[in-house]
Amino acid sequence: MARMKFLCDADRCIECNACVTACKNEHEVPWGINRRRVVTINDGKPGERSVSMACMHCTDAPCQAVCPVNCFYTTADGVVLHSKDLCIGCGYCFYACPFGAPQYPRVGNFGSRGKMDKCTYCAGGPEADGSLAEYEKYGTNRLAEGKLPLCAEMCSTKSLLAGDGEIIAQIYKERVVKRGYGSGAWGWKTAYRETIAS
Amino acid sequence: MIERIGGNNPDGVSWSIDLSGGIQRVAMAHGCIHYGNGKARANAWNLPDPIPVHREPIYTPRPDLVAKYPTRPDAKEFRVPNAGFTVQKTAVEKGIAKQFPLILTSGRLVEYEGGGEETRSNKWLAELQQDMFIEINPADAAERGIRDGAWVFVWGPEMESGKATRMKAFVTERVGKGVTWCPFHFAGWFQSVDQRGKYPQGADPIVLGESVNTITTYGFDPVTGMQEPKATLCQIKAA
Repeated sequence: MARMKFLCDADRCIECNACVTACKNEHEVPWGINRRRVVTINDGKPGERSVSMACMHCTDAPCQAVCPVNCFYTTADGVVLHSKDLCIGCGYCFYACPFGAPQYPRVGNFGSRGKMDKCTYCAGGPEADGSLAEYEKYGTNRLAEGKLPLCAEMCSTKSLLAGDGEIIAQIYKERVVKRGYGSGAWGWKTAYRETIAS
Repeated sequence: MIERIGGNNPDGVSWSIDLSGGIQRVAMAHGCIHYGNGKARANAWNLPDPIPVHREPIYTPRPDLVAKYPTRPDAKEFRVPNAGFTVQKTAVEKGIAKQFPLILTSGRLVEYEGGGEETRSNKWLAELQQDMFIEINPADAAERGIRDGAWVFVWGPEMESGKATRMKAFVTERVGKGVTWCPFHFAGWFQSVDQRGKYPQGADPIVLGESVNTITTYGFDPVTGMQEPKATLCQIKAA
């Protein structure tokens, strides 16, 4: 079975935000909710770096560990999904997540949180694959159609890679060898407890 | 097609060795390189400046250089007069560069296209760039007491006195000291006043903002008539 992962090659990301736009359009994510975002450091200075971040679908996901209602589950492909029927919007997962992935719509006054929304690796939720109920809660289920997440598919510089961890790590390693430098797979140590030697 | 040309080495195939069109073969038969005529035109005999020469912008931060590097003389181009020389001379005489010490240039954002009317109407793109802004160097911002993300007033030498555009400051080292930069994709505000009510119902983009063209100044290319949106001066103060 594949172990699906994301890898963002920070040496290639040009902060075009195509991944963000592709995600929002594909899943009809409302204004103010960002399943994926591009973070830039040293903006406008030498050494400027951008990295595209979303839920990394961690091994032993911290969100899963802290959820009081056990709404998270990990699929056979290693994708961390959650049930919006079970979610109570408590926000624990937001504090547990090292990547700031969980997002909450504001419902009502006093900043009360709605049900958590996050990157599904384009794999929907617990409802039947491709059903309307699934689409309305989680967006499209591309994985069930044999397609990879749209953010990575849309990436103009192929900085963002999605797919089986072994394969994307291999692609990244070959890249690093060919161009002679690499800043490492950002977030991999936190998410998957491993690094890619570069 | 790629395999037919490249055989076992498809990566060696590019548009420059594609001989599938007849014109390439004819060009090569006449000793020409088929993707151009093989010559860089250093001497463009039919342009006003056959060989490029340096000319100071009409509103230049270096008026001392205008005597040596003036813009082209006033002329009538097709049916329209181009009074660039007079405007430049007047600007130097009035000491415009002292009143407007910052260079202003403009450019594009990855999220938007052209004037931005269509792309600012797209909710996915509009969310990524919600405000018109001006990039300003930290040194210039500090002199003016401007914080990153704060509202500022920006005005240019050809605007009515006392009027100013209102936008957000983006304090960044991306621009050098004395230089500012604005995106040209915004419209819908004019000299600090929101014009949303004037759009036909349902036609107003999600995001509106001041147009940089309100600040940019006189200047036209002698051949194409293209306006001067890239080199002018401005002044900024905290709003």
